[in-house]
Formats: sequence, structure tokens, C-alpha cells
Amino acid sequence: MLTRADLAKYPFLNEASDYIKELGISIDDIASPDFSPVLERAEKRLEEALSKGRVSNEFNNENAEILSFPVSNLILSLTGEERAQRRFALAEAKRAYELLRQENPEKLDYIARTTFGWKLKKIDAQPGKRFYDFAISLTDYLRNSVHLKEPKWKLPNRILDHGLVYATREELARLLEEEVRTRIVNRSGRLPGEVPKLLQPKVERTRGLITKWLGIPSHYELPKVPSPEAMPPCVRHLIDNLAEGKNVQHMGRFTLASFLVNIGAGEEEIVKTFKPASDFSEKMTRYQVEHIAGKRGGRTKYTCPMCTTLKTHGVCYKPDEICSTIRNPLSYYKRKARILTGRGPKREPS
Amino acid sequence: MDPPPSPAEREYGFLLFGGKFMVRHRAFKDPASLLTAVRDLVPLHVYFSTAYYREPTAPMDAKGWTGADLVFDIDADHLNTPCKPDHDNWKCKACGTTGNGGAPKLCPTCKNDRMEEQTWLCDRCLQEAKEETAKLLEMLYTDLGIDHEATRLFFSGHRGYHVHVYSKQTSQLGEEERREIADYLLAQGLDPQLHELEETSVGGTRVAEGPLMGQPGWRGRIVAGIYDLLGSEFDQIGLTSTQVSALRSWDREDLLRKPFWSSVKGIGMSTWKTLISKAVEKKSARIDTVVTTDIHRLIRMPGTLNGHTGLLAMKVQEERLDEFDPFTEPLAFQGEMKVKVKESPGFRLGDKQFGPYRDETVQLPSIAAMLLLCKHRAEPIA
Repeated sequence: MLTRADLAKYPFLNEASDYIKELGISIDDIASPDFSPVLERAEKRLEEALSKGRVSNEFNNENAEILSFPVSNLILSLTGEERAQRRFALAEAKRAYELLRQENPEKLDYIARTTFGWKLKKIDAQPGKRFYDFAISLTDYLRNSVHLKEPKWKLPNRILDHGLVYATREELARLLEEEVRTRIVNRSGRLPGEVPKLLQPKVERTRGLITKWLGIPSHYELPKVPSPEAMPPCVRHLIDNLAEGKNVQHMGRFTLASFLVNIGAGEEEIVKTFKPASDFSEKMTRYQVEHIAGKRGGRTKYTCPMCTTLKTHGVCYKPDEICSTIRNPLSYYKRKARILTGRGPKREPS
Repeated sequence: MDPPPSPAEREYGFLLFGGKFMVRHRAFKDPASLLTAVRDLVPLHVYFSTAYYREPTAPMDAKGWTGADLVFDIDADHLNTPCKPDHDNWKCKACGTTGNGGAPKLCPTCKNDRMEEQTWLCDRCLQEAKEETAKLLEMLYTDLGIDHEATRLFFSGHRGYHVHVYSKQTSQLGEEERREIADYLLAQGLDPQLHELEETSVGGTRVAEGPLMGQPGWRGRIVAGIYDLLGSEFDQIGLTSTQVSALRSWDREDLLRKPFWSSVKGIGMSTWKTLISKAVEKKSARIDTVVTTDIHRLIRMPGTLNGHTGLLAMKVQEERLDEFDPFTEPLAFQGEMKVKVKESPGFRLGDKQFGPYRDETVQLPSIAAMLLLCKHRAEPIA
């Protein structure tokens, strides 16, 4: 079904790993001069991903294209930089998407089935104006669609028939992009027992690239002092409701407490926010705040629920322009704080 | 008791008489040892986790989640039944104002929204819960493709029904994926345009197009919902009297045939959108979203008594849902008891009618006395 040219396009496939095994190549062969095109391409992949968020195609040397992918992955894993691994995975997944969307349905079906274990059916349906090539099993659809924000991916906006979600070829390619991204992220971080010395300078150079394009690792520069003006409408609404002595449901309280914990508000301050509640109990509030902050019970620090969750439970309130660009109230806060302090949005590598 | 599959991989919880907190993180190697524990503890409520764990007794983050049943809860609390003023009432916790029916969002006197509610269970409410359950099951099978064999239906022993799906495939769904399923059943975020409702221009005339009857999923259901709507009283849904009479004079059977979106004179896109939003509301299944999206939920054990009523939470054969009588089949007590009733609406159990009562001492069959005691409407007489 797949040719070597396909493996060069999609080096993350099971078949690509099998192909490398068949060639009898191991990581120690990297030092050989025959491999310089592979190393070069591996570094280029990284540089492109980090600088542009895209990876180009170089199909004139198919073997280098196939072999360089795991090498890029290895170098990146050795840097231990997770955000760079995520950026690389996204860039490679986008590259795959651009190629996948041009494939015929048979090949898409094959890749979805064999590498990713999807259950899907090739169909030929036109219930309305649009033409659908695929019906994907609900669980395979959801695992990937939940990462996609556009309303068209929401389940109520899909055709769902006996556990199968209709999708066009283009849509299938987009869902596969998500699957590819997850696969690459999960793969990175896996290290072989011994790493050839030759790779060390490459790792150092990549660290330099990461700093150059992604900046110094930071905790996203939260304002030092909690800044009420930067809070999203839902959180401000919750605080207002509490201040007026109105009842706030469990989900709202959890959202508020976890939000405040995560922006670095002090325990005293958080407890004080809940004080006007008509059923306020200082002991209970303190206990729960400590729990959310990870100082009690399971010791997990809870993060703030996602916007989609807040919508489902009716906590989302009058979303504004910034809301349409974020998926979690904490991101709203970071973004708004940056705007307010006049530092503008953080520069993205163009 | 009617324990779930893989009973040893689950966490169990009990609420004891007079207990303020749930006794939880318990595990039992088999249904027999669970039964022994229930007999020893005599709990008010018995729960099990919808989740499967490697270590069910460990603290929450060390349990090792391996999956969870897909569960749905339909409860009259979430329904707007017209009988609520007859049997439910509320009291403002701030100023003491009282009223009948479901509690308003804000107290009309002091604008506070902290309310104390007293609810009751009646035929009407449970009938509506049953109808919501039927819609839910239909969507689970026809749209979501859930396997009949993996599905169990239970009466909750109070004001609603529970549906459990015991399937390997759905057990791996995460919270976000389950939220999408909940949104689907409620049609939350449904955009008619994404179901191809649109206006195009054909030779200078504007022509509306949209989904058709019989199409899969929400598309056909939207049209079926409009069909139902037009067959009922629909003058209260926010249309003008001209629009209502235009729709009245139109033959709704046209909905079953060819494209109809442009065939009603005087009805344009915005009217169709109003009709669609009402149709979708009618056709959606009003589940409790929190229950479905929580992958660590503790849920009532079928075959145990519900401490809110003394009624049995029990399995209902799906094909019998229609004829299932929640006021006859889940009755568990025999004999008679004397109780002092503060206040209670009239109610039916089996073929007997009881009440209403107000400040009186009555000798009642135990089933009725238990219901009043559990609902805190009466006190026992020693």
C-alpha cells in the first residue's frame, strides 16, 4: 500500500520505523560520514520547526527524509525542553496535514486504520449539500476533535449516525493531524540507553535555537501581584456575585478558587473572597482552598477548568474579544495582564 | 442488590444515618462481601464508583483510574413541570419569604438567591422524566451507536432515572469527550447553519434551504421537532400572530416531503431559526451534565433503598419503561406505622391515595409513612 515516497512524507508511520529496522541501521551509525545528509536534514527540521513553526518537504533524498525524523526527535528529547518538543510535534503534524489532505481516500483510510488504530468506514454519502467520504467511530472522532476549537467540530454540529461521525476528506486529514501531533509528543522524551558523542554538539546547538526562538523558559510572566483588572468576565462575575451575597454553585466556586490559587493569590485573600457568601464557613473554605492548592488530600494542585467546561456548566459569562482567543481563564489573565502592563502580546516567532 | 460488572475494581461509598460525611474509598472483593457490609452498616444510601481503579481504596490520585462507565442521570429537579407549585415549595434563607413551586433565582422580597427547597415526587414529574429518558435512549442507540446489551436502565428511587453504559469502548472516554456527548444530547452549541440551513439566491429570489426529515442525527431530528411543534400549541414561542397564522394555514405534512424551507409564505430565515431552537429544545434529552462528565462519580447502587424516599432504586426492563410504575414497583415495606405529619401534599402509592396532610397524626401503611419520614415531612411516634 505504501511506497518509500509515502514514508518520506509520513516518517511517523509504523511502516517508517519498520523500514529503518529493515535497513539494519542503528543510532551508532550516525557517526558515519554517509549519514551527514541525515544529520543535516535533522537539524534543518528542528530549525524550521522552532523558527517558523513549519517543516518543509525535501523529497529528493527519501532515505534522508525518513531517517532524519527520528534523529530530530532524539536531539530534541536530549534537550529536555518540553515546549520545544510540543512546537516540533505541531510543526511536523501541520506538514503531515498539508500532505494528507491531498491523498486519496484509500490511503487516508489505510493510515488511519493501521498506524492509529481507528475504526472508520469509507462512505459515499451526500445527505445535504456536502459530500462525505468517511464515517469515523465516535471515540476516535472525539479523542481528536476535543482539541479543535471551531464550532464545526462540536459534536452537536456533526452528523452522527449509529456511532459514526461523517467527515469529509479534508476533515479526516485535520483530525489525523491531531493524532500525529499527539503521537510525536508521546514519542519524544524516550531516550536510548547510550547516546553517541557526536550528537552532543547538536544538542547544544538546538538548545541555543530554542532560546533564540522561544525565549528563556519562564512561567509565562504572570503579574507578581494579582491584578483584578486582568481577570476574565466569568471570574469577575463570580467575585461580584459573592460580594453581593448571592449563591454561587459548586462549579463556580471551584473555578474561582482554582483560578485564584493559580494566579498566586494568597490563601488569606482567597478565603476573604468567599466571606460574603451567605453560607460562608471559614473552616470549610480554608480546607477546600488548601485542597485545591495541593496542600491537602491528594496533594495535586488543581488548575482552572477549561472554558468549554465552564460553558457546559453555565459558569461562562459574557465572553469578550479576548475570550475568543483563549481556552482557559488563566490564559485570558496572562494575555490581558500583558496588554495592561503595556508590554503587548508576547512576540511569537514569525 | 444489582451490583455492576467488575465489582472488585470499584470504590464504594455509604451515607450513614445521622452521618454528615460519606464513608468512602471502600472496596469489596465480591458482591457477597459488599452485601455483608451493607447488612452491618445499615446505611441510608449506598453508592459505587462509575470508575474502575487498580487500587480502589487508595487516596484519589493514587487509585490508578483505568476507565469509567458512561452514565446519564435524568432528574425532575432539572425539569420544569407545571405541577411543581402543587408539591414543591421554597423558603428564602435570608428573609424567610416563602412560595410554592420551584425556587425562583432571586427572592422577590430581598433579591437574595440562597433558597431552601422542599420537593416532592409526583406522577407528572416522573412521567416527564420518563419521556426524557426515552429520548435519551433513542439518541444513545440511533445516534451514538451504543450497544443495547451494554445498557442498563434504573429507576433512581426518587425523582428520575439512571442509564449506565458498561462498555469497554466508551469506558476510556475522558472528561472532555464526555462533555461533548452531554452537549450532543442537550444540543448545546448546535448551530443550524452547520447543518446546512442557509439562504441562497436563485435567479434573484431568495431561497431557504436546510436539513430534511429522515436525515441522520440532529438534521432529521430538527425537522421532526418542528413537525411536533407545529402539531401542538405554538403561539407562545415568541412568533408574531401573522407568523403563527401563516404556519397554521400551512400543511405541516409538507415537512415529510421534499425541500420545504421556502414553501411557507411569510416565513423567513429568522422565524425558522426560532422554530429550530424550540424544536431542538423539545427533542433534546435533559440530562444532568455534571453526572455524565464526572469520570470519578459515585452513583446509587441499584437494588438498594433510596434514603430520600424509602423507595427501591431498581432495574427497569427497557421495553417496559412505558408501563413501569415508579409508585408501585419500588415499594419495599410491609405493615403499618403511626407518624405525626407536619405537612404533605397528596400522593399515590400502589393503588392507594394518601393525604394531603397538615399537622395531624395518622396510622399509615409503612411504605407511605417511610416516604413521609424520609422526606422530613413527618416524625415517628414512639
